[in-house]
Amino acid sequence: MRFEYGRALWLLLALVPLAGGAYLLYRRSLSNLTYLVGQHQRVAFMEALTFKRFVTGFLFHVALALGVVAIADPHWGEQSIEDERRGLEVVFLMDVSNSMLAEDVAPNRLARSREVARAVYARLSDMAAGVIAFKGDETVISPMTEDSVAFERAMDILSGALVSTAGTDIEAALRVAADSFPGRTERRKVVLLFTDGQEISGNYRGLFRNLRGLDVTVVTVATGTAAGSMIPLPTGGVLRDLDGNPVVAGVDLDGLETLAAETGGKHFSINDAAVVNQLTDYLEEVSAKGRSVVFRVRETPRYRLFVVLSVSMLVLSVLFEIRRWGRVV
Amino acid sequence: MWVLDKPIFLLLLLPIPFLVYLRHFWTKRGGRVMMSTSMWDGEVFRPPATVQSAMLRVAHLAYWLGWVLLVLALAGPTRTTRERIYLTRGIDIMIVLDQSASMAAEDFRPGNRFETARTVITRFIGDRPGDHIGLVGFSAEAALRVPPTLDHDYLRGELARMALMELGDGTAIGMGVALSALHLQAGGAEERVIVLLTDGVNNAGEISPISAAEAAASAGIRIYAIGVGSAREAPIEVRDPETGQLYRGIVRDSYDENALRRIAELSGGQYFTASSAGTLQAVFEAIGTAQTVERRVRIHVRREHVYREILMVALALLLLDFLLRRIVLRVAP
Repeated sequence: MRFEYGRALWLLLALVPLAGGAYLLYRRSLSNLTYLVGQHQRVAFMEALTFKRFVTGFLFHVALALGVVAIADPHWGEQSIEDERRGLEVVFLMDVSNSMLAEDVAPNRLARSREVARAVYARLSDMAAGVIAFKGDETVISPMTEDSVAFERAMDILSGALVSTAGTDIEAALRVAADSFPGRTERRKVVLLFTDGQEISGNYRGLFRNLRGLDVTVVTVATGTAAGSMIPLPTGGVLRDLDGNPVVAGVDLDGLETLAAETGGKHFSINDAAVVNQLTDYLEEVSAKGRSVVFRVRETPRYRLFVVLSVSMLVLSVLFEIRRWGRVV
Repeated sequence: MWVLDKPIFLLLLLPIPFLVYLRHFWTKRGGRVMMSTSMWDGEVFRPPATVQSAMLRVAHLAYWLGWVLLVLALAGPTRTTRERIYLTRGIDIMIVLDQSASMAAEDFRPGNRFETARTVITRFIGDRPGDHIGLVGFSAEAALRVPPTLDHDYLRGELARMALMELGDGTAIGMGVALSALHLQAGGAEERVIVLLTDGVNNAGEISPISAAEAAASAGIRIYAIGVGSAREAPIEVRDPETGQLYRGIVRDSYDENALRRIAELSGGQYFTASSAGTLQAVFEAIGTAQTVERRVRIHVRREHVYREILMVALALLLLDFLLRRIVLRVAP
């Protein structure tokens, strides 16, 4: 089972004090009952009070809990849906931060990314491509186009100088990339993210939902090694932190894998000698060009089951409320 | 537009009036102390309106409204938006716009030639949502601003950012046409068109307009050449974006009609003159009419489920009822 909005389950904790308060009131009612009817009749009324107050309260809380689970949007099982889209629109989302100058990949991470992007573009036919460079900020170098000259030119000018803001804001870059698909074509939308992804943290859930909602698949390409490397400076030497220690830029491989998996994409490593072939094969598979019918597997949402159970609990609770209990109530 | 995924679930609303009757109006329900008022001979007995009785009514209302919303969430309320998917490839159009200083001539009231051209081009872009449109600017040099793209928002943004004289002072028509032809060739469209707007004579660049037009024609690219401006003298005011210096004067120059006509004829296109904002608009409409292709369009419906929001409101209302009745008012069930 997978919850689309797993955070909503925290609301279940809020039900605990509510149920506790209701139970204390029930206990107080018992003592009030004894005061009203006396100890000798208490047992006769107890049964009614238990069902009337305790059971209805219990059923109500169960109904609320089931509603909360429904809000968390549980999914399990798979269903096949026909996919009408063919061909590809690919945004090449290129990290141009300083860490991309690290030389744990020859000649360096950025240059190798550029080579791989060019090779993949050259091998895929009948596609449109856009190029976005990002660091702490992002800039569209080329919008989505079939113009291969524009793509080559965009790759030529790709460098850290294109963006002045330092850092690596992958989340903001992905949002810009998702918005850069013009639509209006039957092509599938793919973001091909080349990054060393050092700072994949924080709340990406909202972003994943947006990307899935827009039918955008993210394919990640880790551009460095997990062990990392020092970052050479154009002026000579290496980048150092405030204490004078060399900065070692590693790659958040787990973060990149999660990012790809959450949007139905796949993760690749630029260190793999066959990365161009792997990427091309995968993108051709996504493109599904030339196939007559294509099916995509999607997890089945199951929230209705929990809402139906919740409504059933409420019906039971009403029935217990209105029932006459023996002669006494 | 709003739709329900499973409207059959709305049938669950039918028992609600019965449950309301059982819970609030059925005289034989449990948990009530019944007493007769039939012997009362005075005025009709009504319980006094108090804050407590108002809260109780609010609680009842919240409870049943919560029920209705729960059932509504089960029915799967969905917001749908329609997106046009073009199944046939449109035309690739490259707009080549003169950015020389003379385009600031103010004979296209209320704006100058350049501003009017931008307004008309923006409208033209809006009328062709399925076509890949690109933008090249030229004056002393030519530069690709936008390759042919369906991303018309980006295109409009770049068009708005263009400024006069940012590519120097001069008119390199040949370079503009040649650069456009290069980028149109690199695309995949069968039908490719250049729309050239200029008010001057070619006086810069290494490629002559005729050579560029011949190259475009050999690649199967049609050129629509538009000469903008009137033969009259026109006041001009332009600021050099590099130096910030403001230039004022009178423009007397006009475009080379014969050259533009030749460029259009060579490529199988058409030549137009536009001496006012109205005629420029008419010229673009004529080009739009001439360049029509048969299109197959599919409507793709995007669905956004909103049951979660409705579920949240439903649970909040049920909780409100519980808090008011059981905790605040401590009503016996």
